[in-house]
Amino acid sequence: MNPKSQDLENLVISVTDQIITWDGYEEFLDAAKRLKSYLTRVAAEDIILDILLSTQEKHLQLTELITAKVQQPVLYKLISTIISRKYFALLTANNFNSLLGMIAEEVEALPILKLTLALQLEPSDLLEVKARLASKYKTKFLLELKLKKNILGGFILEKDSTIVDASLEKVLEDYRHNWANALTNKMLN
Amino acid sequence: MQNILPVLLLFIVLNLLLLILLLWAQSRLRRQREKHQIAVKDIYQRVDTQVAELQRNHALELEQLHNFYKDQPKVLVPSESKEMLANAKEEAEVIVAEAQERAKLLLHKQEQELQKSLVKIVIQVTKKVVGKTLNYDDHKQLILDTIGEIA
Repeated sequence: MNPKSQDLENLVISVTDQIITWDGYEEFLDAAKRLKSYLTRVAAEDIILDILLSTQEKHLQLTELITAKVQQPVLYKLISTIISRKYFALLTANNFNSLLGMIAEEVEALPILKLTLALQLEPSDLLEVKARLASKYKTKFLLELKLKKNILGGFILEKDSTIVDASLEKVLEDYRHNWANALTNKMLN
Repeated sequence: MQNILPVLLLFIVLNLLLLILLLWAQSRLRRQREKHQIAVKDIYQRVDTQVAELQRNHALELEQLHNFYKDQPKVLVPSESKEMLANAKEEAEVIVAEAQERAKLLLHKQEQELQKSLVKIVIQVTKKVVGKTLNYDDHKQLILDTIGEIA
């Protein structure tokens, strides 16, 4: 069964939305390439194109064949979605390659937003942060993460040429600056 | 003719006598003039010598005077001394006032530096406390809350 173009687009968007950083994208791409070689090696196409096998049998065989091999979470979710929706044709070498091409086109067109944090967030939390930022700026993007313990908490965001320093370090530095200024003014008076 | 001859002879003799007298007078006058010139020259030389000696003495005295006053403190008349004393007092007052002002500023500056150092220490301690107090969920919540606040 082939997916409709809208379904295919939704699949691509879903993958794009789950990729948080450029590093994450490269990791996804590596895992996908490895999966493509594996699918060719184990002749997954034979199962997919076998007219004697029922959809249920194909589902079972492909699940057994593939899901255990995929570790990368985004790719795992993509493959699971493809199999559960019975878009088996997408797992043939050519179609899978085209799907990866579409994903690459979508991801590589995204702008990169630099985010500095005080500690490493869990991927699910990062996804939430990314979603909130996307909602705030009304645009999609990839995150370029940087860890800097000195900022204590909060974050520093760089978008185009704008820097938003919403770190705790900045708050405390502002407080120190205002305090010192108040003392200076008091002494001058 | 015979009567004229003796008169003529007498006239000639008289003329000769007159000529001799004239020559004698001339030679005497020349001698007198030469004597006078020598005397005048002598006077000039003596005057020149005296003037030169006077100038030498004057220069010597000036030099002695200069040497004498060179090492001597200036002796002031009382009115001049009072004026100088008043000026010195005024200058001293200005110097003292400036020094007091500088000391006051320095004190303020040091006090200010001290206060700033205290502020810095307080903030540093706060940073350390905040850094250790926040747990993972606090961090996450802070990030999510702040995203909502940014313009």
